[in-house]
Amino acid sequence: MTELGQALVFGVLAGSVYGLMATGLTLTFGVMKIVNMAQGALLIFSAYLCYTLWARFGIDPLLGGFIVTVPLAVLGVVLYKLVIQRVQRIDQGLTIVATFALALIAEAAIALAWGPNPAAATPRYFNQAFRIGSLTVPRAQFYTCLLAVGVTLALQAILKRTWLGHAITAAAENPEGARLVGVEPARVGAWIFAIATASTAFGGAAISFLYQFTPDSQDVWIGLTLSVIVLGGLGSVPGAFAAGLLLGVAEAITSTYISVRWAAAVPTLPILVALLIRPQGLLARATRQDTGT
Amino acid sequence: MTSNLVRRAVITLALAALAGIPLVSDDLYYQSVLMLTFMLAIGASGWNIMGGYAGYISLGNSAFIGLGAYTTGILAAKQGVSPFVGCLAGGLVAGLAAAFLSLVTRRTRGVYFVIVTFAALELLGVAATTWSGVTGGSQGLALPLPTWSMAYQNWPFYYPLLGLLVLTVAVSAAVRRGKLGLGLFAIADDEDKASGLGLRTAVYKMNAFVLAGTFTGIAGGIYAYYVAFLNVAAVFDIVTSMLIVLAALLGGRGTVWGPVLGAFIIEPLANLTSTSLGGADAGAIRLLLFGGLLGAVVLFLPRGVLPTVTGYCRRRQAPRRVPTRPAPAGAAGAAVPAHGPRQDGDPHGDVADDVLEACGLVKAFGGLRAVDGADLAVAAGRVTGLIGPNGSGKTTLFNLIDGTVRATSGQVVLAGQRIGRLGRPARAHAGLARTYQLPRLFGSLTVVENIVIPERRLSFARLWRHRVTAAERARAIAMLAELGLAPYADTSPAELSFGQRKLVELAQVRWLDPVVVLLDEPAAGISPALAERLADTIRSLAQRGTGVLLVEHDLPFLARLCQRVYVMANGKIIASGTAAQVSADRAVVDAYLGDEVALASAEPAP
Amino acid sequence: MISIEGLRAGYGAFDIVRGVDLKVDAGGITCIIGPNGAGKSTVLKTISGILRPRSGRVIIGGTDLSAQPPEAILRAGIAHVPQRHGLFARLTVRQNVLMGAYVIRRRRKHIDARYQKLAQTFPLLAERPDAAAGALSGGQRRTVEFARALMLEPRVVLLDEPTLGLDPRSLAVIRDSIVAMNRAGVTILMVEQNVRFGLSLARHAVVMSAGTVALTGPAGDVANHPHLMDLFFGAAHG
Repeated sequence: MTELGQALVFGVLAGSVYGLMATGLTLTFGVMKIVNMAQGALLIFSAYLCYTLWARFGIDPLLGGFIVTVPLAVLGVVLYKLVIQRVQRIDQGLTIVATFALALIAEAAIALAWGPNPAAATPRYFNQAFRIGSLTVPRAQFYTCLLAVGVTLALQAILKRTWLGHAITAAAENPEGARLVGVEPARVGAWIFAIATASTAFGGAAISFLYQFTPDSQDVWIGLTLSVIVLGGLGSVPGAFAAGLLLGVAEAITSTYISVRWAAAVPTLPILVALLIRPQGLLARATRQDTGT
Repeated sequence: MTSNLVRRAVITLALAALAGIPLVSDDLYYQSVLMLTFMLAIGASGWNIMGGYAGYISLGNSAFIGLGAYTTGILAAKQGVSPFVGCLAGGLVAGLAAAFLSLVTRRTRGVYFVIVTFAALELLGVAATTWSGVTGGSQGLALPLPTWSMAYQNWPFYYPLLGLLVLTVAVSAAVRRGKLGLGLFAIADDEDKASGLGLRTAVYKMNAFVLAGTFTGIAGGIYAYYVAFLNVAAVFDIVTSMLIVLAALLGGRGTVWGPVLGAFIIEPLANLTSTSLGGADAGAIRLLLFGGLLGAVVLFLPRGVLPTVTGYCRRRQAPRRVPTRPAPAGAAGAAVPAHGPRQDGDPHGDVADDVLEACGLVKAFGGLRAVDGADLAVAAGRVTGLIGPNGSGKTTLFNLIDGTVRATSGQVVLAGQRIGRLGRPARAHAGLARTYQLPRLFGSLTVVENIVIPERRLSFARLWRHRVTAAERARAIAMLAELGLAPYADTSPAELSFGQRKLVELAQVRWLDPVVVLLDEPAAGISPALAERLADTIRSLAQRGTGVLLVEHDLPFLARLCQRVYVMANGKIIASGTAAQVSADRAVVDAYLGDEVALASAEPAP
Repeated sequence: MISIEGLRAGYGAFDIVRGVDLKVDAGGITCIIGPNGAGKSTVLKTISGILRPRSGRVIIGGTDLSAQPPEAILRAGIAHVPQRHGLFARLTVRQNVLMGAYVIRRRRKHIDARYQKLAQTFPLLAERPDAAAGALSGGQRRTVEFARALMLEPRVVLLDEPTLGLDPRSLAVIRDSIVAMNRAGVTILMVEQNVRFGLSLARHAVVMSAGTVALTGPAGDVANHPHLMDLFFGAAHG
């Protein structure tokens, strides 16, 4: 029984971080229908930045995450204006290829800047753990779980309670109606990218001390985050969080009871199953096909 | 036509040169670069059939290489199978995987499809690594060494790859030249419209995908023998997939030679960078280069090198576009229309069979009933009108009849057959056709191609015939001539005016020789002269026995054409009769002018 | 108040509005009627800035506001309630109404006060401020849309088929709202499919057909015009 309990603990903790990593992707897809294949690269970039802040200046990676949101947000706006807006005008179907190209460029740039050797930050708590009854709760994962919950709640608050959030929701659902009240979808797009990439900074911070990473880790993380948003409803932030939890638990249980090697397949399998059966996401509301008379 | 001769000469020379290289030179290094180039060209050409012709972009085509390579490798290593059989088996497995992928497109399209291909590649990589008992896992798989003499050097790999490339390009050209290609381009432009015209899009896509997968798979098999050692990371590799996409996009997707050109640019470049760059950063610089190139192509050269160059040359030759004279028909043959007039309907008689009946059709969207129990009948050889105010459900009714939307309840009967359960292509095959308020034509096709594309019947042999046969061309041009559009035969629909596009859409419908035609506001937004031409076309349709159901707002137009008019309001049919009867009907006037509102206390503001 | 000169506009390759000249007097209710495809909604869209005109001018209150973006038009005091999809179904009633004041969103207090004031005219705002807009009935949605249009205290309100999709009972409520808006000093330019409803409310009527103005005059005269039904059934361009 403790084995199951332990698997659940690991699963939930890891899963919350998966959800955190996917929030940026969820936002850009949910609002703008853009799949940002560079999400993995952005995560790794943030991870490297946090690692450098920790290695050079001794700044705790969790704090580093907050600092890194700024350059990431700027990067998001730049990407939106220089690349996304342009390719959307040329050929919408190629947007995903463009972001895919960005991912590879980013991976290369990261490798050139930091080298190919694995990196991992090791703050004080990275291998400490609490004990609750017979269960071990690793400290580092616990903190990132808190971070994940916090960021998810903060994003929800922004979306539901601020003018910007309302404007984003409005423009996503009804671009023409939004224009009638003075909300310009293009400006909203820049904000969405800024928020999405800023939230990615926190995911990267988590990676920096939870996992070992190299520049090409971005490939693994994009697969995983795609899985999360596909499961959770391409566009629902709480849905993505729940999906992350689900994936984390599934992975932990597979690892414990089947084999560690097959656990690697767990993240990608849902994409295939979900997209074949219910493309709009398992937790998304059923989309209506009608558009009036 | 000298440009054609020049092209052929260049291609023949290049082929001769490539075939001759191993004969004159012993440099194994250059041969290996060329072999990798051939492989990339095969992969890119295959990708092009899926992504360039049919519009389905895949990020996972290196999976076909991997499947081909591993199938061949496993058969060789475990069963000692001969290389030739092994490669073909590799192609078969990859082809089957491609067929499965095409089935996926039934529900998963666009961006979702791209994600699926990405995930499938990842998953196959994981599976290959995990099934280490069979595949050797991360340790890799060693193939038995070739049994032939070392004196042959690379020839047993070089020539098969070159031959496979020639075959792939030839097939790609045949596809593009033929009806399969025509259908694929139409699917890329407007898949739903294509199925509404009777194209069995699932079959077309499967053909395209299987061709792509099989050739790429065979190439993978040959590759496996060449390198004699396989590891998962090398073949199920996202970067290889990316290079395939890059080669096709850079060269020009949708063309025959574009992907080959792209491969011949990319692969040598890749090789050059890996040899001239040294050090730990080499891999990163290459990735930067190719990622950057892919991004640059997408942003700045989305059509690719070949179309841009040929477009530039073409514009320099012909100053301003003038409708080109129709080119002479391909093969000799009298210009005889392929179909004679159908059995006449009886436009003036009182008794005519109903070819289309809608019984109690209901469509509910949540609580809203867009169509609330509609009954109507269309007689053969007669024009029937359908009018009603905005929001009365006319377009939804059309969508129910043609199958775009599933009915909540009720029946549609076409020539005595219930078609409620049939898909759109099947309904077209049964004789149903439809036009749209805003005409939908295929932008990548010429006007003539647009007209000849509808199909009443699928046959595999037909897929490989010319896009437009001589007889078809003659018939189409005759139709265009009747409409006064003959000079536009070989132009793109984008050059036509709105009204002209409507006429072409109508010609498309006539091509199907339909039993019933649904016309959605054909006269809207066009000049009176064009409207007259349209009316004539509709009359001739009816005279040939077709039943026509026409939605229009212009009552005089309807009155000239229709023997019977239905009036729809709030999802129901509220009146029917001749145009005169209906326009005098109180209920109809009410429906148009709106409900009476108690006006006792309502006074306009001062 | 509003003067439109030689307006041409459309979507894609062709023009729907083909040379429209129109004048709307301040303080009254003007109704545009006409058959489908006549270009009525398109005219409203060019006034409110969501569609760029291809040629012609839109002059409001003496200022040339042609081809201005929607934000500028809102600030100039013109609000537009569209035919369909006006509301944001995922936002609440209150949030929807407040979005009408998006362009002045910094003035928090003013906005809250304005909401309270509008709740007096539209009780729904006080009764169910937190209801999801998507859950409301047709008539209730229209009410929310009206309230939202009034948030910026506009001089002119453009109404595109306010009765579309409404049952007869809601018509009376909508009629009262429009009359009340007008009494408070707002000029109303409305497009209506329901000819009787529109002409009963309006002082001035404009009949459009095939992209141009076919007939204009006092509402009563137009309503009794002998060839009105002909215009609807297309004799104008037969």
